[in-house]
Amino acid sequence: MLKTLLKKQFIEINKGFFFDSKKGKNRTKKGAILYILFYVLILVGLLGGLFSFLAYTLAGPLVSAGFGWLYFLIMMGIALVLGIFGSVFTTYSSLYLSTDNDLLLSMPIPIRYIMIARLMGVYLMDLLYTLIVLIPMTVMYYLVAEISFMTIISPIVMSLMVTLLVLILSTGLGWVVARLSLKMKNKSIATAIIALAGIGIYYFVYFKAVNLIQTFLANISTMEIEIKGGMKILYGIGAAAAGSGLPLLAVCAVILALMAAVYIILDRSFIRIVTTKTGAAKIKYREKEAKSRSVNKALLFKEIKHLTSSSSYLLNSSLGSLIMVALAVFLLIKGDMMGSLVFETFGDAIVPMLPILIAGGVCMTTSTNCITAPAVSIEGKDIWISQTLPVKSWQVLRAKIGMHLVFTLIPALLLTLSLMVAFKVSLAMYLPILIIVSVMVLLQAELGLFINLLKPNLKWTSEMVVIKQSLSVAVAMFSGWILSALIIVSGIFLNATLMFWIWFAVIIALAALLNIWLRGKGSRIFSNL
Amino acid sequence: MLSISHLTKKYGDKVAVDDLTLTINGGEIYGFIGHNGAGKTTTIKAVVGILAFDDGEIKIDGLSIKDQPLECKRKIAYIPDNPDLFDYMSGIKYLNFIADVYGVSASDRQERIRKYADLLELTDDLAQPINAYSHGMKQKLAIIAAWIHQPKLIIMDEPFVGLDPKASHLLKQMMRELCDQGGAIFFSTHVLEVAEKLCDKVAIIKNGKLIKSGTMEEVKGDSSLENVFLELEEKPEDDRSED
Repeated sequence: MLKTLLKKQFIEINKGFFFDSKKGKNRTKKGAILYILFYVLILVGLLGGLFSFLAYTLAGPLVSAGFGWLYFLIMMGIALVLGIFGSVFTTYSSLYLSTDNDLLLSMPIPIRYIMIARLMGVYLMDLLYTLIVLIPMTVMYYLVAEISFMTIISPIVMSLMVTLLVLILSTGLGWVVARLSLKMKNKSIATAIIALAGIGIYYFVYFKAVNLIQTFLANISTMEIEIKGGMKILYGIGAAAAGSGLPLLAVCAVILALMAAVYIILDRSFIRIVTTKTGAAKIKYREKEAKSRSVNKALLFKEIKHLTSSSSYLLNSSLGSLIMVALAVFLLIKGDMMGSLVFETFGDAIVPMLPILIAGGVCMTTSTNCITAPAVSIEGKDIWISQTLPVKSWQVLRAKIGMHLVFTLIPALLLTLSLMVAFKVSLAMYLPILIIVSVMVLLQAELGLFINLLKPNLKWTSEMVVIKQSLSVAVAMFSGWILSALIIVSGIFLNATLMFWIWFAVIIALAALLNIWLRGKGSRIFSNL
Repeated sequence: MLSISHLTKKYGDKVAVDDLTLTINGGEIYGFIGHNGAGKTTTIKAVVGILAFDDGEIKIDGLSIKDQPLECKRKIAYIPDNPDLFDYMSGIKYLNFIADVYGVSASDRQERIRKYADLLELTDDLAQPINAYSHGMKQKLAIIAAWIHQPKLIIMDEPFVGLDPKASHLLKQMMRELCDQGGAIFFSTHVLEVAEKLCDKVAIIKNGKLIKSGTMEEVKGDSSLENVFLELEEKPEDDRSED
């Protein structure tokens, strides 16, 4: 029975691989395998390549200098950040809010099995994000380290521990959110606040660890290496992956104990959480003077209402806005200091690179916002409403783009202005940089819709399946990151001024092309979904 | 008001609707009955413009749904078999959204919302989020939304499912009132007693093919609609040519 549930969960998450929505039927086994291979190649090829390069760069020098533990610490830290980012906001919805809860609970299925199946769904997403770092980390280590039983087995065991740690952190936070939301009326806001507080605490701990590593690295040059305090724990974790038996046992014991504790807590509370409906106090309608809006404003309002009424959608899809506002505020306060630091470190050589670096950097941050990538799928069963309204499909799609612009463009321009002021960019470049950032935000919105129209999923049982666990979102986000990384890298290694204008033209051209596609074929796809 | 000519819709090799022809005039309540999977919902979805069809023509008030979909959609309202509405909105916000899209003025919408929400006893719940509504309440909200722009033609798929007896009675009154004002109603149902009492005309569909249509008297004669329907359902397809 558990196998059946796991299969259901797996198919639900990966429905796009097995079901051809265009033809309305299941793909053949061969077709599904080819489809999966294609996407694995894209993900592994692009992101795996990026992290393989990083692992390759770090592994050789650090391992040969006897700092294998530091190599693992850095790589596992990256995997942890990525894994947490990929699953922390989704866990609450994935575990407790599936629309088929009532159906499954009414069947003769042990409740524990339902919970395990849901947990496996979360773990699958956790694996997707962490393994693209952990696999290159392990492979590169094998290439440079002296081979022994422990050096082979330890990275694998520690990789497993990292994936479990991500699961512990995200399910733990999901459980806290669930418990508190039982007592709160506005679950959406409660979930958003608690999740943000949780992630705040997590990143506080993470940055503390980064500071410790930086202090340690500063001491390496003076050969005054002393491992003490918090660094001792970090050293132990790194050493465990590098083949030290005792630390490995200790780390495994701690993580497995934590996992067992989390499992017991979830097991005991799962049924109560999924079956308790707190409901909100009834609000009696009082007639107010009606106001009319234009069609386009009404459509935009509808999209914004959808985004803001779902904490999962809001947190997962527009976290970048929060980051951008926080960075802009930070630059307003500490801009002078940051500017001086950059000029002291890199000298005048950085000046011609600043426009492209700022543009690329802001674009990298805006790529975190994936508002349009699930925007078609999230309509779900309600899509008939948009399709039967007397509006063009393009108007509906344009409203989705508008929503992305409302939430992303304003913070992006704020951050861009703060950066340009802090780094004293020439006034003549203000407008081109603002334009390139604006068009990039538009391009990201269009790209998200483009991918979602090609890979729609309207038959979901948990909105997290389309918000976070969908290929549309992953491909849209990673495409944005890769494009931004290319902009930055080209600015550093090629002629920065020339590359700025080349990217300027490329991004405008791409945005225009996608716009034409969305107005034509994209609109036709939408109306026939 | 609605003219369906030689409508054919295929899903792969399966013919869901086969050469269906129907005409619904202003002032008529037209019932559409058939077994599960007969092709009722497919026909309805093609009429309201959310399902492309392979052959034939659908005209609403003389306009082709294929060539002038927006103009057609302005004249109609649709209530699906399962009222999946925007759960993230309150009832009143949903009605205002629909009114905005159909260009209903502020004063008209206020008056109509008041009228129909009071009639269907939903006024007190309009500020509630739709996800707190029962199936019947959602159905009532979908009905108000359908009536809010005073369409010429209302197309409904199983509209009485989930409604309490009083709401069903009120809906029938609203349907008759709309038709008395020159509008038309085309709806599918499995409740044959309702169809028999309410409809001016009826069409019976089996395996995608229209097997009988006409005024209620023409279709049922001296028998009941239920008897006629069951008889036609049991008849082998080849024998139907006599009807």
